[in-house]
Amino acid sequence: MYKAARAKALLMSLIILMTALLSACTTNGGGAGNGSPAATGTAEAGGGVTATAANTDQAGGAPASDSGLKGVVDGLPVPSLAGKTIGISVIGTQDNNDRQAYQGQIDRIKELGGTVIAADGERNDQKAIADIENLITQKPDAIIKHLGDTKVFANALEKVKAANIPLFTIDHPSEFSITNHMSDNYYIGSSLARHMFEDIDGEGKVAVFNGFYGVQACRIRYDQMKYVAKDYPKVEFIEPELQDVIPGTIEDARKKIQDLLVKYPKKGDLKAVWACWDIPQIGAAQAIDAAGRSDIKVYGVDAEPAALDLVADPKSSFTLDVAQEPYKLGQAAVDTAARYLAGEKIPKTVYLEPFIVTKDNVEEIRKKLTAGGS
Amino acid sequence: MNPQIRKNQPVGVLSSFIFKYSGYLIFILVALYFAARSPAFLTLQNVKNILLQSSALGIIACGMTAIIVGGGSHVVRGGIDLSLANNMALNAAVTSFMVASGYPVWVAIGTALAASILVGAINAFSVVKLGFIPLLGTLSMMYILQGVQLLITKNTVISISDPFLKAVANGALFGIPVAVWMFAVSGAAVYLLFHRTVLGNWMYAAGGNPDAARAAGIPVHFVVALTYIIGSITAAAASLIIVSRLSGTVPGVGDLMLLDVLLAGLMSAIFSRLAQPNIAGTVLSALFVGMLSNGFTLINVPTYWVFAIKGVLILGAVSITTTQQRKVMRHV
Repeated sequence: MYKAARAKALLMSLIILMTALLSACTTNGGGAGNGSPAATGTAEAGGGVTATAANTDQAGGAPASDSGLKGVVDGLPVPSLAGKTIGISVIGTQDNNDRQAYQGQIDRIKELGGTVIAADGERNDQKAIADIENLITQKPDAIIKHLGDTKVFANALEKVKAANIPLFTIDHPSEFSITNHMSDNYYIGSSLARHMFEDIDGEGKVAVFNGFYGVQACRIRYDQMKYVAKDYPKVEFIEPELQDVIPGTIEDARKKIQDLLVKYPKKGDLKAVWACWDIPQIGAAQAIDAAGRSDIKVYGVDAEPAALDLVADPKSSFTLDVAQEPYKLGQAAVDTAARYLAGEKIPKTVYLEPFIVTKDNVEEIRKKLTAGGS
Repeated sequence: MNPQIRKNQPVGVLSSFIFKYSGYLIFILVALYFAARSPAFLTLQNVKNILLQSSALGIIACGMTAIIVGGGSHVVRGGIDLSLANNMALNAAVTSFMVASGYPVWVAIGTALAASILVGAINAFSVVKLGFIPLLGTLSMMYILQGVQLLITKNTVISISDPFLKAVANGALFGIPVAVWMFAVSGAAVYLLFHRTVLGNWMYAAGGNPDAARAAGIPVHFVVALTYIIGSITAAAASLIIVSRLSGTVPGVGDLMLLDVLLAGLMSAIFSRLAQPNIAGTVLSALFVGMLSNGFTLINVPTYWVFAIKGVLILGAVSITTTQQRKVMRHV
């Protein structure tokens, strides 16, 4: 009997624990991981209280009231999202870039007085597809999809369209999306390539990570790099190209570059390493720095904090990075959705300006990014 | 399943009831919780979503359970196939690669099925004939399969579009998605095989006590080998759903699923009074895993909490089962 009582107690305590955990975190609402308690509080009360209160008196039955806020890209007024629910599906929250875009969307929806339903794909495409299906079920007023391979998500996004839910995307072109938001990747790709080819005096071997050509941002940057390379005929690309992987990107890239260093042991044999994003380049720079191969230069995109640390280190091979403003990108997508829902005309694509980060201006850019982001 | 066990239990009626049906209770409690928090949870569309999202996992988990049943559930020496999820990924890679190279979809699916069965047969051979511990034999197979996938896909996304695969992804029959039909049919087939046929009894006997089974004239080797083949066929069926839903294959798709597959296979025991792995329990476990992901999105749990809550829920389920298992063992 004693054992049975103990088992019963165990069962009861487990049930209590589970209920406590579930209710503890659901009161959190919006899905903002590092959001401040104050922000969460306003979300519970129905979103940006001050913003909606300011314009309810002037709205007076008009279909779309002005939120009193200005668009993050163009500075023009943005309609309120009061009473609207926006579903957001991000590809993951592992990288700084992803987290910023995620947070930017969540914060902006709340500022505009709307309700957020957030889903994190955990960098697992199957999960991200399920997320989109689950968002559709909840019939939000709009869905914003962030990143991912265009073809992999085609079936899921077709379902969004079939459900008549307006779809907006970030770094993800799709025939089913009304507006795509991205950094000016054409500029990122060509300027990164020009800097790289100039830095190596227009000749020598370059190693390229090209594991994600299906992701639009990577495709544009890669194609732009190859386009610029046409005018640097003495640059030679190492074949086969390296393949960056997710997850375990940094570790995997470090090993691949270590292998490459063994293959090209002489100084000057290998001049530069290119990738369309920072994560593999962090591993690449680590491998190169550890081997003392100061003759090799590393180039990446995204301004991941760890990558900027390397750029800031005068001894590191990480030479140049391109910073995007993912937080602002997230905000911009919400602005577009708000305008569309208010019946305004919106563009097919919204571009954001990127910044080149060098060893000279890295601290300055870092300050700028911190001010604009979280 | 075994009535005298119930009669012999001297413990309180309520607690024994709770323990016997602990799995179902937790399932229903969690479902009720989600339903109370989100009006969308119990809508027909959402129930269809949960079924759809659990289909691939459910099918392949049935294969894992089959292997655990046939090989016994001992943690180290028992039946297990760590290569199963990567067998599925291999199948997805072969199908995608062949369709992308211009072969008809049926040829691609057939070839991929043959490849999967071959992998299952090699696993069966190494476990049954060479006497490898399944954990190690299939672990090495898992690495081999990862390597083969890299060779086939070059570690890239292979995108394909094919009307048949598209129908599997987005199509429905009598209002029910095609993938869910596949889940229902394969789940039912494996269930009937394991719980309604002599062969099924043989598999439980071979896993429970191989020596006794052999003495009773059961072809233990054949039966155990068969479970690995069944596993590989479920991997192929699950792959068809994955390839359709992803419009091809993406790197790492097998690795991402492995732990969920193991979880659903092992957790199936909580849906059984004897705390034994079983097919109906596997289907429910897969639905449970799918329901958790779906419900968390619906009630808007911050993503950073999801893993911890999932872990606590599963820990709760498993601790109840373990207690239950000990009780059953005492009375057998």
